[in-house]
Amino acid sequence: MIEAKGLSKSYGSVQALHELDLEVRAGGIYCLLGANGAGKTTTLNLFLGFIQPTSGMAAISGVVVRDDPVAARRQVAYIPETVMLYGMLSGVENLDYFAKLSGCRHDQRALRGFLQRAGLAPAAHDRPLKTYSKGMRQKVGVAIALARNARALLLDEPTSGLDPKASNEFSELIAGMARDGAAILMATHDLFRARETGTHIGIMRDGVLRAEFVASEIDHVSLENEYLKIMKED
Amino acid sequence: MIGAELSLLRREPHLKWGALALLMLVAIAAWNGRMLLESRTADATLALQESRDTIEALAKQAGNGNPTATSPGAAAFGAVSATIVRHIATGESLAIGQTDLEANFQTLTARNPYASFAASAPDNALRLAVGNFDVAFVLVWLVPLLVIAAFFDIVAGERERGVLALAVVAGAAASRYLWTKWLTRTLASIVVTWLAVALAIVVGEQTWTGDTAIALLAWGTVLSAYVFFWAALALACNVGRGNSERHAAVLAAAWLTLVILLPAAINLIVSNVFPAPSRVELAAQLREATESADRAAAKDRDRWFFDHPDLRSGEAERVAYYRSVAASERVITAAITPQLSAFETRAAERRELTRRLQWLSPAATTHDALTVLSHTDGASQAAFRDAALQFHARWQAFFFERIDGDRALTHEDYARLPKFESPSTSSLLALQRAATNVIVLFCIGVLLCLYCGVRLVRLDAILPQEEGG
Repeated sequence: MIEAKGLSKSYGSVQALHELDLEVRAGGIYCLLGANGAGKTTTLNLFLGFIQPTSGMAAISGVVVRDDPVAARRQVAYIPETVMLYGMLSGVENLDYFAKLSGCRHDQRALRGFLQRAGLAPAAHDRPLKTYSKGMRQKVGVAIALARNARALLLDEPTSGLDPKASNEFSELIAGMARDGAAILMATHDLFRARETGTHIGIMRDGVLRAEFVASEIDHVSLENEYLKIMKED
Repeated sequence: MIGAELSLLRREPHLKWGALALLMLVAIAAWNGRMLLESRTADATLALQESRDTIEALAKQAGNGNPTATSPGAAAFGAVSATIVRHIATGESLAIGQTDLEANFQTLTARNPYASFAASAPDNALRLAVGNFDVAFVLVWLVPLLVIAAFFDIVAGERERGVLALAVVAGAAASRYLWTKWLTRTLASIVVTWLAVALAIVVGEQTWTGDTAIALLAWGTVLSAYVFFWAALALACNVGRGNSERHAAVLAAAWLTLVILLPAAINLIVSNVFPAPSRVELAAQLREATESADRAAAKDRDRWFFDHPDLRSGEAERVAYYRSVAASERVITAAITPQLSAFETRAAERRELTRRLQWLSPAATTHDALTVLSHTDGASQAAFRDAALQFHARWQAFFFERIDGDRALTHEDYARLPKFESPSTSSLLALQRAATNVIVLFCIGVLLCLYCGVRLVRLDAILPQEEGG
């Protein structure tokens, strides 16, 4: 479970995040929408322990990140906007490298299995990563999450720059991970994908969570209208 | 983690090709050094053999009462010469050092010492113009570039590729992850350097002795300290702010400064503080002393024959002539000894100042250690010149006392001719001197690592991320 209570972050006089309360249960996909500078990445960085909160609490599977960032990180997999990894290593070698860093040892068959589950065709497994498209690299990122058997997944605009087909494939992948019991928090600009993939949707502006919806209770048009209304507020 | 990092290193084409290029250049430089030494050894052997053959022939002739062989004056100033050869130490082919400034052998007669030394001036003007392409030069110049290529993005590059964040989320502490990467790369660079030294010894050395193993160990240790220093400097640069391009530029500037500019500046300072004694000036002083001594000797000879007109022809005149030449050479030797001594004093002052200033540049420190280990440093050259001077004095005395006493040379006398002993090239002493350089490089590296340690612990607490939406 991913949980935030009164989570705030200030940089001097700038309030990057203000009193965020949020909860993503196992099997849930929470999509954070918002313009650039709304506080989405700050939120993810606070959950990852990359930055320290000014006040409030962020926790992963009950472990407060501030108290024990290493233990909290053990529960989580992270896929940034651009998964660069090591261009000269193949997909399977990159997966092996990061799995070993997490202390997970898998044989070649298992590693290839994770890549296949992540939607990467076997023909691509042994090619250098520098020859991969962005979508293929994101799939390696998902495979790393699968190899680590992470119970929580943090995604930072993972479908940005992907073509619709690749974006759809990626959404199906994370939906599958949620069905397997992972709690997923995803920052995105893509309203359509948030509505299609998410179980819950939050709209942020100026570091404040302005609105929350259950995805199944709102249609695409209404979501867009709500989003635009919040963005246009003075 | 170390295995994975080694696998990464193997896949980096610029490092693979860089290491191969380094090994190739080292092999070429070692071969160049070997060819140089082989040609010098051949020249020295030829000259030595010629001297020995002449002495042997004259010894036989002296037994038969040949007047040229029995006359100490004729032998001292014409027929007999001594070829003295500097001992070639193990590893000399790898660090030519200052040996390109002086030949490794000299042919001495009983004339004044400068007459012999002037003949062994720079033996190849072309080589002096281009400098020697030796292994020490290749390693001191190029190893830092290889290290920089391996380390310039060790922190910033990981961050830029998003790998550091993934590694940290994967459960690795940022500092431990980066230290492991650094250590693996440092060890890999050291292994490449040892391979380069081993290759240089295989290609460059003609014979293998117990000293070869010591040379390999000593060179490997000095260069390991050099690699350690550069690896620590690269990490210290990386833990600061900026992206990998900036770090690459800073490290390239550091290479330019520490490897090229500072050694050049040291040379400039030394040349200005202690200008090298002018050989032209020395030659002019010698000419002046020679002319003055010749005039005085001729005057004495004329006076002697004026007083003894009955001895003006035959053997007596020859004896008197050689006595006057010997007297003249004594005067010249006495006149130029202060100049030669000043030359050596100035050379020693230059060496001392260079040794003090070398600590400013790790490249100079390393190069000094390598030339010391190969016995091609300035001090070793000076030791040879000193031994040559002492030998010359013994050689001159041997003949002069026979000229003065009008004692004919016998077959046995030729066997008693002074023998030259090349100064000892003690590996132990060289190791002791080079150890100071290694310790200094290592200590600077450790200090840089301590600084990096503090910075990386802070990275553990908060992993800097670019602030996004």
